[in-house]
Amino acid sequence: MSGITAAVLQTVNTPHIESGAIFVSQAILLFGLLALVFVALHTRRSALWWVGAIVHIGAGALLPYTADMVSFFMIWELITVGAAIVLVCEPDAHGLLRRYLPWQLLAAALLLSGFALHFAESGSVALPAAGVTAGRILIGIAVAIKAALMPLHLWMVGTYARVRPGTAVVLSAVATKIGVFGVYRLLPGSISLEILGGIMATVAVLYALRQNRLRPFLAFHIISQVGYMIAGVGSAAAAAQIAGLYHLGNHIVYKGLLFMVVALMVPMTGTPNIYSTRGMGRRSFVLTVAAIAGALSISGVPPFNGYISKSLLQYSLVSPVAIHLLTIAGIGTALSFTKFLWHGFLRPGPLPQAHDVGEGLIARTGTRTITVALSLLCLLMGLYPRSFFAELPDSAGITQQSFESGLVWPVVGAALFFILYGPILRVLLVTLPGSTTVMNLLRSAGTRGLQLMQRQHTGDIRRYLGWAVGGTMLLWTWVLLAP
Amino acid sequence: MNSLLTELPVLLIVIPLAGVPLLYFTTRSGRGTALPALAVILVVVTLLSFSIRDAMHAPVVTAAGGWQPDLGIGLQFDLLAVAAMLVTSLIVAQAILSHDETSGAQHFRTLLMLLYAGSNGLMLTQDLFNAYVFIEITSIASYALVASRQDKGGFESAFKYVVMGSFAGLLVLWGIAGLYLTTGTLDMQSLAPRFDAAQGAVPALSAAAIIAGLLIKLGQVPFHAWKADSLSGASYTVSALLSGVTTTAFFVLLLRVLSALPSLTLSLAPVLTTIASLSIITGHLMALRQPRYSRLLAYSSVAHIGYGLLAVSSGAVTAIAAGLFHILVHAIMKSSLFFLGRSFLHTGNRSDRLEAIVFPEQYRKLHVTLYVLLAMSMIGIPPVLGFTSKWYAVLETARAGYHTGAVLIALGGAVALVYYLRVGIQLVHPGLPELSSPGPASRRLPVPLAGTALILLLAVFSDRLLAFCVQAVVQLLEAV
Repeated sequence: MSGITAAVLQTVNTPHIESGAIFVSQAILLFGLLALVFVALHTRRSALWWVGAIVHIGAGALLPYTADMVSFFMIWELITVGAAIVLVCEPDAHGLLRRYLPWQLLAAALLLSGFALHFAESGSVALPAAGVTAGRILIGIAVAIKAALMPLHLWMVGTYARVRPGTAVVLSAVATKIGVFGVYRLLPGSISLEILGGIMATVAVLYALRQNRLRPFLAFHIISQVGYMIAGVGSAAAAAQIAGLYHLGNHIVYKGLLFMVVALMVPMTGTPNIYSTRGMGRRSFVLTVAAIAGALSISGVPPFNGYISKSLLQYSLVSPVAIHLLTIAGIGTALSFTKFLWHGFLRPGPLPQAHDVGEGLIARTGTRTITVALSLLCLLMGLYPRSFFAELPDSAGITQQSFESGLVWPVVGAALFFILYGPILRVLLVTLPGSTTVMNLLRSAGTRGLQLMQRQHTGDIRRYLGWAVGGTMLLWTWVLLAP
Repeated sequence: MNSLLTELPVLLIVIPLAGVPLLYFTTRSGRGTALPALAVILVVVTLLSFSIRDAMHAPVVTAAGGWQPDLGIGLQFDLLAVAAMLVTSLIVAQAILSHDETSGAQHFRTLLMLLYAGSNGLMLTQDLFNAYVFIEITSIASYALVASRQDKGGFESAFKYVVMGSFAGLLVLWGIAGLYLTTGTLDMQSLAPRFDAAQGAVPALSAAAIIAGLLIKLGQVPFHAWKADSLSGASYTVSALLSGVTTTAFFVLLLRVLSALPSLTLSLAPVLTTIASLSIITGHLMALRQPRYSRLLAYSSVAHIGYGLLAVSSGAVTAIAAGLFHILVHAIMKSSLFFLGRSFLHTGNRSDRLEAIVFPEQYRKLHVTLYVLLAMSMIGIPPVLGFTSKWYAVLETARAGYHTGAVLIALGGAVALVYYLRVGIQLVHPGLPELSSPGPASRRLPVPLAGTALILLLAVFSDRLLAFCVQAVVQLLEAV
């Protein structure tokens, strides 16, 4: 309709520029460029892969500036298209696409219908400043899929843990963050989103604690950190939204750093199993520093960047339930990353046999320089937060007092690892339902239904004729009974 | 020129009809060039394009033989007919190019021309009994075309098609008789007041019978079951015709019937919505597990026609236009997918089981690209035309207040992705050992190149195309 076009044209020329959008876009762009350089130095990729990666990151950096639903949807889809191109270039592309695309398309379809409902009610395609008024549930599920909230996270764990390491670095930067940005931009703030974020942060940490392989472990920590962000940006309090956005930027940096560390250490230790990696501390000083910086950041230890956003969230959230949940998640995160550091880097013991797979590549200094740069960035974003995001309150920063109080919970978490990790793990293994169980239940129910439907279509013409006669009868009955 | 214009609707039917004996005699031996058939289509399209401007102004109404409607037969050349006939002409032209003599059907082009003439008549006529005649012409041509593969599967499909088609014809004829008995007219433009004034249940039952007959022809739940069986037994070219040309023609006729009986349409709206929703769900879910390419496409058609019907049943002008737009786009893309299937045969492989289909070596990349673009369009991924038409359908259905329906349309794409991806993976990485005896290598470019190019290029103008459809629907509703 010309009405729609007019509305789109009016908004499409005026991008939505505000500090939150700028910050998110720049974080994605900056990290995306570093990730691309990292991959370029790390391994050889096909031209098509580069096209996909650039589209993926470019679209991700563009999305925050969109001001209308049509361009939001188009760019949202472009992110998926970029990721799909990247996945096509991976070994086992079929399996990856089967895991990735249906979920993304479902999200797109829900987003589209949510937008349609909003448009039907408001008559405008401009993205509303205070969140959409109609279609909230549909849009909520769509962004929840994109943000990989459990139990809609299977696409992420299924792909990020199976692609080649460098690809995981690139992918980790965009999709889930866009989901969080969607919550910020599209949904009105509410207490329930805060609590949902808190629950997600906690539950995902419990799942992460159960993992024994490196990349699923990182993937579940993404979900957990996304929970923090949802609690922040989904809050009605402006300060919490700012904190959530800053956490998003921080997360892009330290989670990318951790994925890079894993990408570099897996070929060196020759195993993706957390419990079998060891001796990295004695092999590579630079990687050890980077891993420690990443772990301290994600655990919210001052003076690293994670601490700033996490402590701001603690002060600004409205719901006390959410605050407590985030504290528990913080302890779990510290515990989990103590495990990672201890087994991979710090544990004494004999070194496993050196693997020379890819050692030649790793020997390059370029990739390590990038990990050092990101480590430094983690530190700087903690020390001078307001230079990165001017919207942060004056109080954001490290003082003597906050430094001490910020250390308490991470230390508790680290201590728990050494004292109680065995029993905790046993309890978790028994109590948490495996995601495959739920999936299998759903799958078998779906298959049964489809089979039932298929069995009705026997190919027998008498039956089909019967349906047609029955349908006509129903139509006639309706006509007779209708007023 | 003016007298030509008034005779235009007649010419649009008569020219293809005159082509039937012409083609019969020029291609007696089953061989011959495609040129005469293409020339006929070229003439029709030229006539169409010269008269669009006049049709924009006002519909051209012709009383055949000088007998005014109510007594004689009225033919109406309006924007609805223009839009639909341009699409069907494209598909028929592609079918002529797609066909080669090796695939049965001695008089393929003759039958094709008969189908073309019948479908043109269906879209132009204003008289219900005349519509019935064209329904039968179209149907007889398509029965013969389905049977033309001349093997067991082809005959079985044709038999099912004949049984269901005859039942549909019976319903329509019964309905027409009932309407004529109670209202005394079969002219669609003057039917409404007399229909509303008529006493008793017979008029409403008769009209419902006509609608049920058309729903059988369109393959909507619970009248849908013949569709996959018939389309999978026919050759790809014929399936493309059935899912492109006849479907479009019957949809246009359904639109005309519904707009001719506004009061009945209003009371039937909940039923039509239910039928459309069930069709969307059944079509997509059944397509998920189909073992064969053509059956999969047939069930996807059930769902897509459901989109159109859903939008139409909401009753708002823009929603009807969006539904019409989607049906036209669907005709192009679905027939192109069927035409693409013909290329499987060039590998010497007769089966269309999903694990066996593979594109020929020649132009494999081009074929795969075409498939990907068409599948994107069917699923509704930007930037192709299928996305915009679906987006308008979702938007306008939601605006008309049918929120569940809008969500259904949008979610359909996510299901469709699964089955189109399944086919796509097979086509990109055929897990098949090299065939022992490759078929005749085709040096021709794939036929659906034209349809796919349109799907890509027209996406830029989708806004104007929808505006055109809106104008067509406004004309249709004003005429009554």
